[in-house]
Amino acid sequence: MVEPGLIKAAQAGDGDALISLLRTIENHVYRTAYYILNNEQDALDAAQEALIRIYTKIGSYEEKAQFKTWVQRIVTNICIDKFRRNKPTVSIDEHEMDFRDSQSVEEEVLSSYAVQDIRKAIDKLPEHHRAVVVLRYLQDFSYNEIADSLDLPLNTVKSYLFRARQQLQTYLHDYQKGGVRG
Amino acid sequence: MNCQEVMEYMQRQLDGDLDEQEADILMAHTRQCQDCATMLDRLELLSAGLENLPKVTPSYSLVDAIMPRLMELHPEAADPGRPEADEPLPLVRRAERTGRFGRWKNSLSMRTLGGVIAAGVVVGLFLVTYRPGAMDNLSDSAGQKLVAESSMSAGANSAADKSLSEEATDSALQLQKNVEIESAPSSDIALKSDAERSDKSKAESGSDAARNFAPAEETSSQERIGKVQSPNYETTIVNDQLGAAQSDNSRDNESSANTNSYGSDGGNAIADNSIPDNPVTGNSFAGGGETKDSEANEGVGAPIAAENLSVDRMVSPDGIYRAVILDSQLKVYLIADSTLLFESVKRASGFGGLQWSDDSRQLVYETLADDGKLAKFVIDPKNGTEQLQP
Repeated sequence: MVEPGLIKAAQAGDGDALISLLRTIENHVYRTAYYILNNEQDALDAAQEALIRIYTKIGSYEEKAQFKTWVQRIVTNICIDKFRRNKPTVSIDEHEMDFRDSQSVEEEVLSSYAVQDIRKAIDKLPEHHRAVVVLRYLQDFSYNEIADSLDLPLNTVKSYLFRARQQLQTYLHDYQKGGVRG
Repeated sequence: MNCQEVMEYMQRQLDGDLDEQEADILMAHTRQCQDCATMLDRLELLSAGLENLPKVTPSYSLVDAIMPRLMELHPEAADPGRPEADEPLPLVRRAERTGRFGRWKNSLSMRTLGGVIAAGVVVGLFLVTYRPGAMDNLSDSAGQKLVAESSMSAGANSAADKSLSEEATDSALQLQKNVEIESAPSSDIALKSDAERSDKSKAESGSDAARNFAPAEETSSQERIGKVQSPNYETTIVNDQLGAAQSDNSRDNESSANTNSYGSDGGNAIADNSIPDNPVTGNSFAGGGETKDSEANEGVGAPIAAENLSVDRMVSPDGIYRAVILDSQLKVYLIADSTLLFESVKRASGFGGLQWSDDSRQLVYETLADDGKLAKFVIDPKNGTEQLQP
């Protein structure tokens, strides 16, 4: 939680406060970029760009929004807009799934998914779905906070999150079975 | 309830979004429906996996890495009443005048002053490259800035203020008769200004600023001058302020009234006069609309603390390195790719006499050693080392 006084001081032109503010959020900014972009170097670039944008735009932050959602909006926008890769992602909409199709009744013994597999699966999601998942799990945001960050209606956030989880579950289940899709 | 509807319940369950009744419905369904029970297990496994993803952190400090770029940028919403936001020159000076540099006042040697003056010249040259054609105003603006700051920070010291503005007024009156005076030294004087010398330099630079304004009086268009000098905002501010004081004095010599307003109300005068009069600042502070008005009315007290950016910078003569003082550390960056080349230990007494050698191979600074003596260090940015000079 960023101290409101620090934000106020930064907005009032206190350069030290602004730098301190950036230091308190840099890990959060980087983490989002890392999981959306799935690449350390891209994440470092995007996070730096986000911090610079926050530095220059601090005056446009209004208290009616949460600071953390304002920050995440900036970093997700940068990740999605400027680092959008040409790599095609599977569109969930085109790929309308009935979860029951992919669900076999076989009893697999599963304790956890490998981090690498999860990251690979996240990388297959369309960008906005990915961003929703990252904000939900890496930033621990609520539906409303995600909606504020991504400027999406609440229902869209839920829909993206639910579909993303279904999709991830499908990918990961397939990896477990031998990487049919992976 | 069919399985598709239960799916949403499962999803919301993962987010802790189900109330008790909904949770009961979900559990009742999964007890009967093996498919859904399996799916819930998998989703919970997935959710746990997502929650346990490593909380990665960058391999280096991103803020440190972008610091040199930040030094070249300025928050857009910075209050235009704080001119240093768009003006690197005064920053060097301010750090020396305030806080930890206070105790330097008794030990500052001429050598140090020479270094500071040279630093001012370098920074001044640096500025010129950004605002070609504004050279004539540069040195004066530095002096003027000092007047503004000094008068504001010394607001409580009415005697000093009084003498300052009387001297300024006298000088202005004298100088109106004699316009042809070299104005460049004022910035040097300003650069020297530690607390001890501030009275003197205030008077001197004040007169200098007034001198600068004498011709404006003759053209009887202070506002126009201010606009011409923009976007150098601080110049505008002080011109307005001094212009007002001076014109009052030359009109009717009500010096006592004027001295008071000059000193303690100086900040208000700045805000009131300069902001509406200076539309040009909108260019350099685009997007800052919201804070402008409120800050403009706050007057002297509050902005003083807030405006202190305490970030100093200096580019080497060849333009390859940039020195930055932050958090009591002196850092040298390679400008091209923001590589941190050198980082000093924290020095509570600060860094004085910062000066690049002409060939940009060495950066010299002075600081107070533990024994209270002045110590001179030479930084070699190429090797990232520093050496104490005997």
